Amino acid sequence: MKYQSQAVAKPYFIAAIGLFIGQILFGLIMGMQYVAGDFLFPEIPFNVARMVHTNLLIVWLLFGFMGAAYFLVPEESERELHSPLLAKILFWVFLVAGALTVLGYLLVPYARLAELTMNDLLPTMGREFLEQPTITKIGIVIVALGFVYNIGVTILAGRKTVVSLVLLTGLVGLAVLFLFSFYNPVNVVNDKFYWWWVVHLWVEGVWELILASILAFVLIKVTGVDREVIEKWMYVIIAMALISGLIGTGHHYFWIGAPEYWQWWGSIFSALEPIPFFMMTVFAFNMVNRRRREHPNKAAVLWALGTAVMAFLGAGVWGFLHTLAPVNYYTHGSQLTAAHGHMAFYGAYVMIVLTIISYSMPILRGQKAGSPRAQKVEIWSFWLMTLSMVFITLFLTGAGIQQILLQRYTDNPLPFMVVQDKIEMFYWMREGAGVVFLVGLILYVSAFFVKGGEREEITDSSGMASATSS
Amino acid sequence: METVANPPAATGRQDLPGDFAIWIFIFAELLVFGIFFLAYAFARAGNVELFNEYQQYLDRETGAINTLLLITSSFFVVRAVNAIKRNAVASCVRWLGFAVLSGAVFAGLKLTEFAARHADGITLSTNTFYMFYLSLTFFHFMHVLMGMVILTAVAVKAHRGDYSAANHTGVETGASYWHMVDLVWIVLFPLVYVMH
Amino acid sequence: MQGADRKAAFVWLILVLLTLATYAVGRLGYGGVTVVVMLLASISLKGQLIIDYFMGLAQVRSRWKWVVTGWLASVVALIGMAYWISI
Repeated sequence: MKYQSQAVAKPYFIAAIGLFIGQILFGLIMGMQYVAGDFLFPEIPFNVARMVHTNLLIVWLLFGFMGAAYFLVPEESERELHSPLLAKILFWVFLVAGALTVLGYLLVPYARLAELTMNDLLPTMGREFLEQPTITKIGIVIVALGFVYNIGVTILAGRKTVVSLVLLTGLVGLAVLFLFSFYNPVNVVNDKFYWWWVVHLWVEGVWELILASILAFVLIKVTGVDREVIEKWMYVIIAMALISGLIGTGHHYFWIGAPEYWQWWGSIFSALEPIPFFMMTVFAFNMVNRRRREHPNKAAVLWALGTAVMAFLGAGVWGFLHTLAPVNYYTHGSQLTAAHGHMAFYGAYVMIVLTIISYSMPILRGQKAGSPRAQKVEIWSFWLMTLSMVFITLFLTGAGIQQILLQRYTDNPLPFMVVQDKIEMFYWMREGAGVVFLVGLILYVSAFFVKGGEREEITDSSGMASATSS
Repeated sequence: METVANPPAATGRQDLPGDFAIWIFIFAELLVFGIFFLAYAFARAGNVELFNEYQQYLDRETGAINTLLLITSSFFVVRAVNAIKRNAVASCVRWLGFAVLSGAVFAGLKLTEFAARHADGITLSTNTFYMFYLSLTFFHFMHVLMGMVILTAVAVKAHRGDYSAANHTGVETGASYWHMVDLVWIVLFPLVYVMH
Repeated sequence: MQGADRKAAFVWLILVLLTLATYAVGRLGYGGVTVVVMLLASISLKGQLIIDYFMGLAQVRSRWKWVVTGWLASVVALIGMAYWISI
């Protein structure tokens, strides 16, 4: 660890992993409810499980992004964090607010939660992914502002690199776009139109900047390739990601009552969205092949390469499958969407957070890399989680295709629940793959506690100097 | 790097002119425009009468003048690149200035064209032909603005003495982007304004 | 004018003449198979002139240059196809 204040990243990463485990448990509960509808009813109804599953995902990824920023910004800016104390306070504020919100979801009916939190003063609840009570949303804004301030001041006062500036742009965008979650017009078309400004412009806009900068940071550290080469690629990738991603919002406007031209704009520009992801894959492998040193943290290199590949497959390929308006006419909101959502979130955002955790946690604990045995366990967890996610995606794709053929693309469409019965087999297999995923996650956590083998302790700062020469 | 001040046609070079990263970008841009052109052409195949009817109402005069402006500004940019290869910095800056000026006139004329359509009450939702006409020309218009920004930045850097005969990759980078903007319009104008 | 400049000026002149011809076709309102074929040929010629002499790819040996020429050829060919099926 080059700067003491980088240590504030550690609690963020631990919280992220803890909430990740919770997310997977609720995913398994929900997967079970797909085949046994009254499983755990009435304690945890399906809609509540779903809300917890998706909200925990967002919250733990945000914890991961913040941890990543606290870790990499001091190193990039070559100075201590502006205020480690603020970072610690915001951590507890965010954790407590997040925990209370999830408890609220689980313990009281949603309508009662809305009453308790005085949603009627400024109604923002009741929309997918933005279910949080208004006071929680305000809390998120306060945390985000404090966080962006802390990071921003550090970056602007220190060495400015492309990596840190792109990260800052992404984080500011994240905070600003979240403000649209407070805009809740009565007209449902308007509501959906701006709802996507949060949801889509996060995951297919500003989050991609965060992803690109974290990936670039890790690649610079583990390959030793010249910063200039990596920066040039970043510019091109980000320009493509923003152009295709921003106008690509149109692929959500096909059927919500927005003007028809969005079918053209949305189709054409979102068809280009795989390109930056493909470039990211080429870029990552290129950098690793041109590496100028063998970094001892093999697991982190694997996570970085895995991120590039899985983001391309999940976000790029599986997104493209159903992004063209004539195709989406039949596939919209089917299990194909769920397949894409799972692999895209895992490949792009889960994996990048696990990448930075994998790279930085050993350093935060005073080692350059985990012991060989710990890394072996971690690499096993990589393959278990990644392959089971591939299978979850394939099973949901199978379910989606059959659903579309029986329910949509046919002269004699069957009712929704009849079709659900017919694709039950896929849901069982998905649940099985989900269990394997949980095993992978448990292995991932246990890798932090594996002892033995020789460790590469960091004895002096010169050992790190070579790792940061670029 | 070129060393010849006055290159005969026989001499070649290995790499694309300018920074390779701009070419990745150019390829991506060409792909977008290519898909857009084909979307136009195939959408037209399903609505031939509609497209033929409304194409007549377009302002071909402005379109033609704009084509000439872009071709000419592209020529100016070629002169700028040739100038910097001779170490003629002042001349390079001057030609870049002319190119940006031509681009500005293009943009001005385009705006009057948009204003006229707007005054007629034409929007993206009027019909499929106008949707494509407005989308394509506006998307291209944004690229003209982008190209002007790039060329201006190159001109400023050239004026500060950042480029020379030995080091002019930056000029070629900006030039390549501008020629791409020209190339795309060369397809766009006949396709949307004339061909039926 | 240097040799390179003179060549560029010559290319510019051809481009201007072809553009004026295109405008004349539009002005007179001509259409139909022959005109479409001629316009596509004119697009190909103008485009390739820009690629070869303005972008300067004629002198480039890198295989990347074929991406641009290939783009022009496929766009023109597919536009031609779209017009062909609409006849």
